[in-house]
Amino acid sequence: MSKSVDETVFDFFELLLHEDDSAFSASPINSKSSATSVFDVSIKTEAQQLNDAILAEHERSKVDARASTVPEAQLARAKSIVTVSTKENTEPLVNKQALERLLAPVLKTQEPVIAKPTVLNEQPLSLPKPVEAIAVTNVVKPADVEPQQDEIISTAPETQVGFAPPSVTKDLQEVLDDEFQVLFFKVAGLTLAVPLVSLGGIVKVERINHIIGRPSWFLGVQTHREEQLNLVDTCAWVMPEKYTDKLAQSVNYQYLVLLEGSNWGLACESLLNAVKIHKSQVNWRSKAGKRPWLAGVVKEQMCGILHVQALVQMLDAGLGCQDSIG
Amino acid sequence: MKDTRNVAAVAASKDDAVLQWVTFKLDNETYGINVMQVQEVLRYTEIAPVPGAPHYVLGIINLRGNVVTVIDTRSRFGLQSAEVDDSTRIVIIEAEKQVIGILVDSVAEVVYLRRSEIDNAPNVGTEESAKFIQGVSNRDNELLILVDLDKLLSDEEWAELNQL
Repeated sequence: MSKSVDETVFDFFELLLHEDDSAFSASPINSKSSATSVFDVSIKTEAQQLNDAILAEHERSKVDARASTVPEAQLARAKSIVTVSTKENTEPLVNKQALERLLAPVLKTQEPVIAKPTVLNEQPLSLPKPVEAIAVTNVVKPADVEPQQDEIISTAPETQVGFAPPSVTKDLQEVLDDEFQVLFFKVAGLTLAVPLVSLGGIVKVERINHIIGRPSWFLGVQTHREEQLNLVDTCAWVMPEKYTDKLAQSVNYQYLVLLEGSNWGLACESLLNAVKIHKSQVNWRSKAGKRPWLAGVVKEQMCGILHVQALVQMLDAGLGCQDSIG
Repeated sequence: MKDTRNVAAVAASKDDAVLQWVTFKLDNETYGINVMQVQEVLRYTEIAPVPGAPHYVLGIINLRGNVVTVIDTRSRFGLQSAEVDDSTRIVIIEAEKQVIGILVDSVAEVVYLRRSEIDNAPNVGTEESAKFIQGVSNRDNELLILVDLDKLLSDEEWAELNQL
């Protein structure tokens, strides 16, 4: 169970990471890792650039470490590969490719949105040449390819820092103050956040009436103050690919998070807390994607924050989480 | 002026007509069907299967010399089948100029509902069974799901049933 929880949280996070990739090139997001350093290098100070370059080369040196264990001929070939890739100015692309490979099983339903090399041409990376030499000679220990990829990927989530002015969540942000409160709630190990201004209320799950002929994510109808609330099986809606019969049986819905301006309620297992956060603490979506209901990621809690207006639109239209509006 | 008010009140009450619904249970949910379409309610009796009949047809019964086809309501509603017990009933209804029986878990009561008390069902259904529901109503904190019997079967299915 704990594994599925981790997977779920990771899925959510990498989802945003993946969909925002192409946006990073246009937005002034700071970055610490090699995976994204190429995109914002133009706005960094020289010291930052150097720092990033060293980090990038450090990662690359680990890859090259494998080459040191093979005969010299292979090492030479590896060197030539590194040299060629350096000439083509694609070192960061190696990381992106590794990222793509690792995320491929998770993102199989999505079209990969990987930054194109043309972006590199627009913002050429000026790595110091001595670092390139370190990449080849700084051979320390052998390592397998797979763990190496894991290491590269593991740094990716840490790059989600900074604040990009979003476009698709502009309407939501206009409603929110610089500091705003969000409520965190949990479903099958997955934490989600909803801004309090978009929260219609909290209701305890009581008698749920099942209505025939509705989508599998439609939990049913519950009467509340003489009105019918339409309940969403949040787990089934948010992660249908993981919603097995076993998971469905284990989910124990306790509360309904009502969506403002609608009669929709998201079923959840527990309410965590309501905290005040700053807009800059959210990595807002800046590009329209397959999940308009997701406004972004709260960086500290590493959880998705809901775009309630879009979510209500989708639910009204009977759409699933990966359908696009209109 | 007073006459105008009376006319308006009468018109409003006509718009808000009271309808009677026979309620029955299926899988712990309460459904209602228009009382005008209900002919009678029978205790469960042996249903003779009909070879080659559609999957939603349980079989036929002999009702005072007339052959009546019985529909498997649970199957039609996409619900799992259940064992027949003492409260199981066959409701004889008339729809689309045909008399058929529908098998239900139990029959509850006849309720009176104003038209204004009927809400639209959540319009998110894509399955065929979504169209059976013509509305919902909240009574004593219980939801009553109102079924449109005419839409229980498609035109082709009604025709097919007629030829059994």
